[in-house]
Amino acid sequence: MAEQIDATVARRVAVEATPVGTDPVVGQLITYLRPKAVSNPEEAMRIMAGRDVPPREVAHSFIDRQVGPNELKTVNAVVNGVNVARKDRTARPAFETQMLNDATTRVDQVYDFLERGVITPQIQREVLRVLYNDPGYRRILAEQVGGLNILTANYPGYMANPGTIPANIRSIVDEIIQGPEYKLKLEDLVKKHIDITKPIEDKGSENRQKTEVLQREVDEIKKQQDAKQANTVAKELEEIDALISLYKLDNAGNPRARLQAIQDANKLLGQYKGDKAVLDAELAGESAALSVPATRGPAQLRIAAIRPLMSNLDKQITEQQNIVTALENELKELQTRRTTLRTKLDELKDKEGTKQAELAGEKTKLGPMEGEKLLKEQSFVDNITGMFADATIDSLNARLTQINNSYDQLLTKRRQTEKDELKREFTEQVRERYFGALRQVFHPSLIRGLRGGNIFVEGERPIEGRTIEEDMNV
Amino acid sequence: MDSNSTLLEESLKKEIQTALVTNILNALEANKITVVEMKEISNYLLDNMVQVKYNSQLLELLESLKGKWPVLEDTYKIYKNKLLVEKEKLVMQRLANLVRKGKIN
Repeated sequence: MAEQIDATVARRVAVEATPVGTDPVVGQLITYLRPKAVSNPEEAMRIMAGRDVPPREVAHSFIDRQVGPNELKTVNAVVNGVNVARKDRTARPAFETQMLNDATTRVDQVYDFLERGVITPQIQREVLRVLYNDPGYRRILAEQVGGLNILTANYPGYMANPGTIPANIRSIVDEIIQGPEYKLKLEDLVKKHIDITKPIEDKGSENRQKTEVLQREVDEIKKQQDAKQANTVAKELEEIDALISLYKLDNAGNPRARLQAIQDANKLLGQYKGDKAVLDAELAGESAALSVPATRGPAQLRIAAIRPLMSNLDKQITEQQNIVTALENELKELQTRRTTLRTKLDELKDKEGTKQAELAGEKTKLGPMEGEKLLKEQSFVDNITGMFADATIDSLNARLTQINNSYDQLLTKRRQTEKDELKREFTEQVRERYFGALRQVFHPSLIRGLRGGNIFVEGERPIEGRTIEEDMNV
Repeated sequence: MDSNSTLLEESLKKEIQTALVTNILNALEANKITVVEMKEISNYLLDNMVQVKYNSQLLELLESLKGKWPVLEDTYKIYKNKLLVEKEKLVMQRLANLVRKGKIN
């Protein structure tokens, strides 16, 4: 009887479980897990619980789904009553494609390491980052290279090009990479990036899309204010400031290139104008001589010689004048452009504030799950792109300062201990020498009586109640 | 531990684990649960299954699962009888022993 009931229930289960439209990515996971449920149900459960990583191809699908909003492959699915049909994959914007490629490469490298032990520079970078963030390891590394300052100065270089890591540091890195602890850390990294439980139900919500658009706008505005990035307002302003500085004096009070050029041109202009004044005077004199018959002939010859000189001087004057005018105009243009850019930067700052407020407002409208997802995606992006970001370096530096302070405190304490130790050692030595000398003169029983008591030295007054150590002033 | 319990056979444990995983996957596929719930259930199972040594404990776990996630009621229904029959068999066996020893009539 019981068997019959079981069979009935089983049939009903089968009918109820008929798929009605599942997210294809989840469908892929289900397809992978079904046979696993029979062969190794516990392993299947571990993957479902997010404790083990799924196979690589499933991971790829999950990354694909997690990067970006809705511009993924077309599906006709209804999840919890919400149509999650998405646009074609080609609709992905370039930055998303880049993000997806980066994420896939990164995760692939971790899989390669976990499955086949392949160590890429990226993996080495990961280890270096973990080491630097760990105060203990950082101290060890600092000792290897000869100090924290040297380590801090060279670290970005090591991370950018792990090929430049010195041998002694490389051996530490390799040892850690091969350790089981780090393998787990890498697995965690994959699990973090491939969270199979990330929901997609609300991915297409208007609110979410608005948030993403705002986020992109805010990112772009921030970028424009960053002088370290190419083709930004801040960068252009920096370049213009550098050009304008060419019209000023340097720190030693000497004119910089453009100012020097103006000064040189003005100097020549002055000379040429002076020469012209002299020639003008000569010409006037010779013109007067024309009216006198006796001097007319030589005056005519002289005037004929002066005129080309005058013409040449005029040309030179015009040329130098043009140089000065061009340089002055350039300066004016630069100053105007600088004013424009400064205004633009101010506007961007204001705009950033407005957009940030708007974004915060939109984020609060997101459900807790959506907000969490957004944060996860943001941290995902940060992880991918922020390895060398200023913020990372700043926070590392802040942490370094903290550690340095603690280190200084420890050092002071240690120095005090060493000082005490030395003092004790010195006292012992003095004491031994003192009693050694006494032993040569007095009987040992007498010396024992002296220990800790008053000391009588010939020619000196006994000092009441003082110990040998105090008297030896140690 | 309940003296009426039978030690859970490894094969039965694996069978029920398979049934549970399949049950969860079916529910997920039918959109009766979300992937977040799938993760919660799986974690709950992994945390509690490890302590299960006897049939009665497994039955209790299935009851608790059914209470928390009704979609798992099917697995409970399928295996309840099997686990209860095992329990009944054990009780009968003990009773027969007592009768044989003359401790009860």
